[in-house]
Amino acid sequence: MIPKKWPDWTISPIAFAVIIVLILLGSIVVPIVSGISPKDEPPIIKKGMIRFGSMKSQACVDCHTNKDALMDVANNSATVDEVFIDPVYLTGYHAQLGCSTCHLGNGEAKTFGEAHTNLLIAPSYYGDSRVESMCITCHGEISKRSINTIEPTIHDEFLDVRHKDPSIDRCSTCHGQVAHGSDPFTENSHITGIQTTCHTCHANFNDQSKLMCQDCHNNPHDMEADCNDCHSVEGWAIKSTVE
Amino acid sequence: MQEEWGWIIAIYLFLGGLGAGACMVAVFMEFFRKINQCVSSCPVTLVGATLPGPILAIGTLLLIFDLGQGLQKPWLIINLYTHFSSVMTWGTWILTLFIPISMVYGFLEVMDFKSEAWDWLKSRSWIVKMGKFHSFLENFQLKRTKQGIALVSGVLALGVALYTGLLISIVGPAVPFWSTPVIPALPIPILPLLFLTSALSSGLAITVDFVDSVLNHDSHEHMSRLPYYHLAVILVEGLFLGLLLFNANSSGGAAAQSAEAIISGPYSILFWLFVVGLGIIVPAVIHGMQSSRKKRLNDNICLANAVGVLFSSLTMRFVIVAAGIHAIL
Repeated sequence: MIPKKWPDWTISPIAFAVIIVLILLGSIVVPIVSGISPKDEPPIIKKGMIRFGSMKSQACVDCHTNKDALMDVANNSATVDEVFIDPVYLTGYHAQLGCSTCHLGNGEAKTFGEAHTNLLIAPSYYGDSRVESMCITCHGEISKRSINTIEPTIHDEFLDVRHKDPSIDRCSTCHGQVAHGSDPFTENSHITGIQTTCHTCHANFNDQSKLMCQDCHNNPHDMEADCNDCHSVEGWAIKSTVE
Repeated sequence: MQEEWGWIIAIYLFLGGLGAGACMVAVFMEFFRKINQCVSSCPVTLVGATLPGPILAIGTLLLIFDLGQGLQKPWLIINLYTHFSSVMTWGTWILTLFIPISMVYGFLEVMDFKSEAWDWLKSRSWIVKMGKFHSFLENFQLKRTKQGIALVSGVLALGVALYTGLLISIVGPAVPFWSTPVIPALPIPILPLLFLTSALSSGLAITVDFVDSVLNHDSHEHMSRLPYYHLAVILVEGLFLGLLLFNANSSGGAAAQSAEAIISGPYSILFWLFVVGLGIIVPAVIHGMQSSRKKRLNDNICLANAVGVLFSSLTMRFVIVAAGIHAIL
C-alpha cells in the first residue's frame, strides 16, 4: 500500500502520524456527533468544594471555646451555654474540617457582625440550598444506598415519603451533630438516631399503633412473625433464646 | 455530568492504553512467534516497540497540562512520587519507569530491525575513539538484551493498561459509574479490566492489522492463531462493556443516570456507532471471518478496521469520562 521504494521502517512514523490524525479527527467529530445526539441529558451538577476551613476558623475557635469571651458578647449565660463549644470536640474527623467549612460565616473576622455574616446554623438541613455543598458533597449517594441491603432505603422513606417536616429534615436529626461530640464512625447511628428521634413520636418498635419495623424494613424475611420474637430491639441482634 | 475531566484526559487514557497494548503485542510477538520466521525485521514488533515511548510521553504531557498546577508549579509534581497509599503515585511511578524503558526497547528494536543502523552507529569515529565503550558495543548482545528489556516493558505495559482504568475507578463514591463493580457483591471495578482489553484490542489494531495492511505483510503466517486471539479480546471487551452498563443501570442513582446517558442519551450515537459498531461488531465479524478462512481479508478492509478500532478506543474513553455523573442526594 505504501510505495515500494519506501523502506519498511517508515511504518513506525506512519503509524504515529495516523494516531495524531485520529486524535485531531476525534476533536472535530466527537463534538459534532454529541451535538446531534438526544438532548435529554442529565443536569450538570456543580459540586460544592470542601473548603477545609480549619485554618480559616481560628476566630470562631478563639471565641466559641472561651466562655468569658462569649459572655462579653452574649451577656446571657443560657446563650453562652448554647453556643459554647467544648475544645475536646474539635479533634473529631468532622471538626477537623474547621467551623467555616460547614457553618460558613467568616472565621477570620474581627467583629461579631462580620464573623456571622451568611452564617449557616444548621448545615445539614437540606431545605437550605446552601446545604448542597455541605454533608452531600461527601455523602451524596447515601439516599440511593441500601442500609443493610434492605430496599427501599431508610433515607428515601424518611426523607421523601414520610416526613416533610422542616424541623426534622436534616442529617443531624438522626446522625447527631457530627462535629460537636457525636461520632458517626463509632456510634451505632441507627440505634441512637432512632432512639432520639423516631421514639419522640413512635414510642415503641412494632407497636401496632405506632412505628412498625416493616415501615422501614421492607419484609426482609419470607415469613410471618413479629420482629421482636427474634430480634433484640437494642441491637438488632438475634436473641439468644431463638433457635 | 462531571466537568473536571474532559477531552484531554480521554486522549491521555487512549494514548496510555494504546501504548501499553502495542507494547504488550510487541513483547508477545517477541517471545511467541515462530522461531526462524520473522525473528528479525518484523515490522509488527517494530511498531509495537517504537510507538509506546513517544505516545505515552505525549499523553503524560497532556496530563500535566490538564492539571494546571503542573505548569504553574511544576515542583509540586515531586509530591506525586511520595504518597505511596495513593493510586496516582503508583501510576506516576509506572509511567516514569515505562516511558524511558520502552524508549530503550524501541531503540534496540530499531537497531535489531536495521542491522545496518547498528553497524553505522558502532563505526562512528567518536564512538571508535571511546575505546572501552566501542568494544562494549562490539560485544553487545543486542537480541538478548532487547528481549530482557522487552520483558520488563511488557510487565510495565500491563501496569499502565490497568492503571488507566484504575485511576478513574478510584474516584469511586464521587462518580459511582466509574467504580461500577464486576458483580454487585464483589467490589472489584470493571474499568481496569475493560481498559486492559481495549488496550490489547487497539494495540493489536495498530501493530498487526495496520502494519499488515500497509506493508502487505502477513503476521498470520508466523502466528496462525492471531485472529482467534484478537477475536477473543474483542468479545471479552464487549462483555466487560455490557457488564459495566448493565451493573451501573441496576445499581440506580448517578451510576444509572450515566449508563442512560450512554445508552440513550447525549452519548448514544457516539456509543452505538463508534464504540459498539467500529470497536466491537465490525472487528468481531472481520476477525471471525479471518479465523474461519484462515487467511487475511483485503488490505483495504483490514486497514479500515484497524483505524475504526483505534477511533473506537478513543471514543470509548471519552464517553466513559464524559458520562460520569456526581453522586447526589
